[in-house]
Amino acid sequence: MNPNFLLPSFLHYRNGPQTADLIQTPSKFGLGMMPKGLDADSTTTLVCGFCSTGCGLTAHLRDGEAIHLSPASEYPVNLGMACPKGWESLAPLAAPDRMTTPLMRDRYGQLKPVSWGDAVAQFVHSFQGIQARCGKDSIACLSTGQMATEEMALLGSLFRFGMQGIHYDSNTRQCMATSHVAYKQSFGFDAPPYAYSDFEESDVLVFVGSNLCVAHPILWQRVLMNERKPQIIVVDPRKTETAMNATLHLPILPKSDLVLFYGLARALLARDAVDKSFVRDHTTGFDEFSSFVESFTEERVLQHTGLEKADFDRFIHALASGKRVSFWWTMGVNQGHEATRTAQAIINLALLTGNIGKPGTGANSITGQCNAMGSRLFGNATSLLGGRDFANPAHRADVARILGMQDDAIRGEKGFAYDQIIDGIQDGTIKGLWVVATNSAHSWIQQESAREALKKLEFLVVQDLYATTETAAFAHLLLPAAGWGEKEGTFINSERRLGLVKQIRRAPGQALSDFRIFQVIADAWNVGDWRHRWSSPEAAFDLLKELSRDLPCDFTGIQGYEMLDACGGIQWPWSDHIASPETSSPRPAVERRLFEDSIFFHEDGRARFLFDNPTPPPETPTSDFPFILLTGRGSSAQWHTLTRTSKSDMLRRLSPDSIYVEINPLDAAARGIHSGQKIQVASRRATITASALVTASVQQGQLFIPMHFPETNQLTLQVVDPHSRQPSYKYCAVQIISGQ
Amino acid sequence: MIESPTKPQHHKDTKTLIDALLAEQQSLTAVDRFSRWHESVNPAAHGISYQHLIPLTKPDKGEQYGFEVDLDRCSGCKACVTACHSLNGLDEDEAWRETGLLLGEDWRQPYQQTVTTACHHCVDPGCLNGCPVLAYEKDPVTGIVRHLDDQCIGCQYCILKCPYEVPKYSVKRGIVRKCDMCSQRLAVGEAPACAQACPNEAIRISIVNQEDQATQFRGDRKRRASSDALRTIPTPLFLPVSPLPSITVPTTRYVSGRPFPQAITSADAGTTKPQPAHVPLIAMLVLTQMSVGISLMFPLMHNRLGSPVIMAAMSSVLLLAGLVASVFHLGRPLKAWRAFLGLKTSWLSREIVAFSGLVPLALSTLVLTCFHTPWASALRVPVACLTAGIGVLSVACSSMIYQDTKRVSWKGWRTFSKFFGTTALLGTGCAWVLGTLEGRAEWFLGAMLATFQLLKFAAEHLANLPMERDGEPTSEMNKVGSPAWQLERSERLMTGRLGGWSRSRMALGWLGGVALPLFCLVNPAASPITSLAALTLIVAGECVERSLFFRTVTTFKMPGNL
Repeated sequence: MNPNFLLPSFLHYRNGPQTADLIQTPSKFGLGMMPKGLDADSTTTLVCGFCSTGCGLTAHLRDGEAIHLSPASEYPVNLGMACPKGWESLAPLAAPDRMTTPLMRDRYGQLKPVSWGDAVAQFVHSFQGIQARCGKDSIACLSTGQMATEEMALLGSLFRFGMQGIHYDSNTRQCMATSHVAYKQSFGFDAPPYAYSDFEESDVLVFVGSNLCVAHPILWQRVLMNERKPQIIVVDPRKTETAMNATLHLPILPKSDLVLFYGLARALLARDAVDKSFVRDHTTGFDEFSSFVESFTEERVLQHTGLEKADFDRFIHALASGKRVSFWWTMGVNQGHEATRTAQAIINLALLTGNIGKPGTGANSITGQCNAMGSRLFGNATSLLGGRDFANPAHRADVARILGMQDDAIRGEKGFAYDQIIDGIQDGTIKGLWVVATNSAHSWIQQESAREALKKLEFLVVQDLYATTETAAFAHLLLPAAGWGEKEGTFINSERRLGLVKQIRRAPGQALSDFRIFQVIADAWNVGDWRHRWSSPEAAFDLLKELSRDLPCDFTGIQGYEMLDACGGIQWPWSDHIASPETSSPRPAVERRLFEDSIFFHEDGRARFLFDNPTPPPETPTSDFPFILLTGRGSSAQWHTLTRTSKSDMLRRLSPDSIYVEINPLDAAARGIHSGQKIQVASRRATITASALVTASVQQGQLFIPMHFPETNQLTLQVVDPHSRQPSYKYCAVQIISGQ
Repeated sequence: MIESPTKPQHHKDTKTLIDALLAEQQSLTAVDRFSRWHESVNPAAHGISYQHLIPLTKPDKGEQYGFEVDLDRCSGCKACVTACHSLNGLDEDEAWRETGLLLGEDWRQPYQQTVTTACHHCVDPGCLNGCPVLAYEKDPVTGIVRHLDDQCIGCQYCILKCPYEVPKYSVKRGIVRKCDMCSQRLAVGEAPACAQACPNEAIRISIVNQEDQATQFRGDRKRRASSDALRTIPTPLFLPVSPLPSITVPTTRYVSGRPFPQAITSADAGTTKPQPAHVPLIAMLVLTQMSVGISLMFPLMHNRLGSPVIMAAMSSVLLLAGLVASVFHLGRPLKAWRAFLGLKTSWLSREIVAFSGLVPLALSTLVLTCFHTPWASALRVPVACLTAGIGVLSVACSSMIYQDTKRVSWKGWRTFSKFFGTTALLGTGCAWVLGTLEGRAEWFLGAMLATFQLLKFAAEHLANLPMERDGEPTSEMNKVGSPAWQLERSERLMTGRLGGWSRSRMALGWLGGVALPLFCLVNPAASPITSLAALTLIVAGECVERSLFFRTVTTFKMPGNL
């Protein structure tokens, strides 16, 4: 048909109500063309509440309330980009199953709405009753890496100083405890040394147990922005998305990384590829380390890791010849039975080659949750507020002074870690538990033990956005929390950047921010004059500043929330003496790394070489259970136990419909298994059913199941690293029972 | 069981504190506190930074815009999908971009690659060619295939025609919608939502030469047809595990420096999901084919029956009922009168026109059968024959609708044999029943009926088998997507998830179409009720057959996810 010929409009509707629904108009505020119905009257930027990348998201506001959202183009972290979770941040807030009132379980086991007054009275009555009967330490609390730092500090203070409990841990135990301990022991403080610009400035990037492409997509963006044609080396048993993009993929056998890194150290020593002056002036333990690695011969490495000699040689060569080598690790390292030493084996390589404190270098742990870093500093669980030591009376006195408490308000004893809390409930030591913004009944390793424990509790309080989580099913009392975007506070991202979260949505019903819930409980518990000291998140932020004074994380130079907002987040350290107007600029440089002066945080200013003999995992494959089960992130659209991401239509669409297990084509062929077939996977703990996905991405003898499905952790075995007590999610023995 | 506090322990203060905090929780302060920092943002800052992802110039004559996807830069984050949803203001569950996953099958070559896909804005768009109301147009300058949402009647034929599952039907809206390459953004020099949102700049718009693209995918047809070496000419690659690009000549270019492994599949290749049953279409096809079958039998039978009016009336009523049923398939039936607009390219348009023409003819036959005047008697047979002829044409159009989708299990003879099989079977069945109702059991009709039923079974069985004439594999690199693979998947549904339906279909056919007619043959005294029951069973059998026809078809699709 002649393209210029137009049919009359009664025959051919080119416009009308349906067409009008998709009209776009140029919007203000630099947002580009936007759908007509979504005109904003102002915008504001806040930090994303899923992972630790800490992207800035621009909320499009109408009458102060967010109606839409897009990635912030001027935020230094993400430069206008976001992963699907970030794009869909508002959807979980609007979910129909948000909890809108406190809920209490009645004698028939039904959850019934109650007033806040009654809920808080029950909270105080039950916990105080348990403490009166069974001792102060018969209650415990499990917190989270998903709250604002101010909230974590208030909860940590309330539970440990106010309620006088000591058994207090958080779900960061499941993701970052290893890095925390490794850094603390090696550097003298939990201090990931890098800025994201190091991705762009490296010549050799080594990723260990990190599927950055899927777990931190916006950081992969920074890798691709590297213009130095870097070598990208990926150490991972699986051919992950990230491994696909590597210049060298080292598919080591699961949990053979410690031997690999010790062998690398030996090879580098043998080649004399060591930064001798750096090692001499800034480290201790080198001599012991170099004699320790003597026994990690090439033969031993190859035999243990299953690598080809050529690949191992390329790895050695890359490290020996690379000018700027950076090491990056995530959960593949942190979740292992000897995780802390593995992380330190990576740190040792950076120290040995002097790859630290310079652009494009570092031994860099990429964090998991949006505020795992806040939890590590101010969670008040393993370390006393600010990264201090509970056992140190001077530290306790410091904190007590800053918080206006008596010295004896802070108990010096070490409390239980997460696994010990679960065991403590099992053996009856702990009778009351308060779970805040985490989902133990899904995520805890060897899940049945957590579920059994939850069943045994006399009193379980769950504080969450939804009453529908796996853990909520066990609760006696449910407290409705406001979510990300419904409250103010700060998060600290992987590169130590403090960023701001703002209240841009009204919480549904009577849901309250976690901060406000803690205020109410503190008040009802009668802990003293906390109401004025912890009057608001920003007042708490001032306390945190004071708590950070003269510590490595000193951020006393940040004037307040407005300054954080104006700067696009600020990395610690930023102390008031570097920030004072008389000295340099009052505003920090956008991206800063640590240790540029090679002075570490131990008293002698030196970093430590730390090492131990590798040990086999507690449960290795046998003829009955011949496969190694690996677990990990499934897709970028899924977050942890799916509590929030399952509420978004879009994210569900981008996630697998149901649980699946990746199996190597050879193993599948040997058992007559094809993709899509339902098979049963069994460990010594449980048997689950999953669809097979036949793919060469997993090696022979290994299976992979994403962690997001509630069935996955029925299979895993509770094993923890002795130093960090972080669970080893990525290794247990399983078998396949014939499919249907 | 927990013990309640004996008396409320919260003092008054707590209560007022809670009230104050509840009030505070509902106040939004971000604007007052922070918006001043954002007043200075350059309003154009956003768009400018993504302009390098679109061409600087408009396409020349013979050129058009196309998506270009750099697979080596795609990390699998899927932000493109959420950005498409979000920046276009689409419905809650709607996005015009999808992702899929390619997987290596050879254990020596571990491989995985995420593939992002939207409308390919084809040079020869299947959706546009199939649309009965011209609700698609290809922009003469940009080549963008645009859907006119207000012209759409919700017939969903484009969904069957598009090999890439691009148009998506919205029940709420009663229409389909699809990607328009963000033409409104392109018009102001902004990159499409997906391109803007890709952290790795893996998606851009480039200019494609339409003729080169067509030659690349379709080749020189004459040379290829005459060549014995047809299969040795390497078909230029679009993407592995994807529909054969010769069907519609897509313009998206997938670029990669990494070779695809020889053995490659998609993550969803192992899962088989039934397609929609389209109940109104089942009714429409079975009823209209029954009607045409009756018209075909009418010239033979009208003299043998005591009251041929009933037969003519049945034909008309069934035809009208079928057409009414088809209306229920449409999302916007009131707009459907424009269906003649697509006559030039759309078999659906042709079918609608053919059936519309059939209605007055069938009614004329009926009228002529009612009257016994000489001119009526003279006209009856020619008009009845014309009705039968146009009826056959209409059923042929129905068949072509499905044949034209190029789906293997709907390929030419497979659809034709089923549709004309139903026509013959039900026409014969009706004639036979009418005879028995008048007490004159025609043995040859009963025998014909059983024969047709057996032939139909044979045709249905053969339709499940791959044939040489099914042609080249639809996927260029391996068996996934090949005709045999498609039929195998259909077969898997037929014997697996829909096994109960398949067995009922056989039972209904054997009982109604074979056992009962043979019983009546050997036992002429059998009551007319038996024949009526037989016909009912046959019709039910055909309905089940048609529902399996729709539900077990293997669609073409881009690589999908789990």
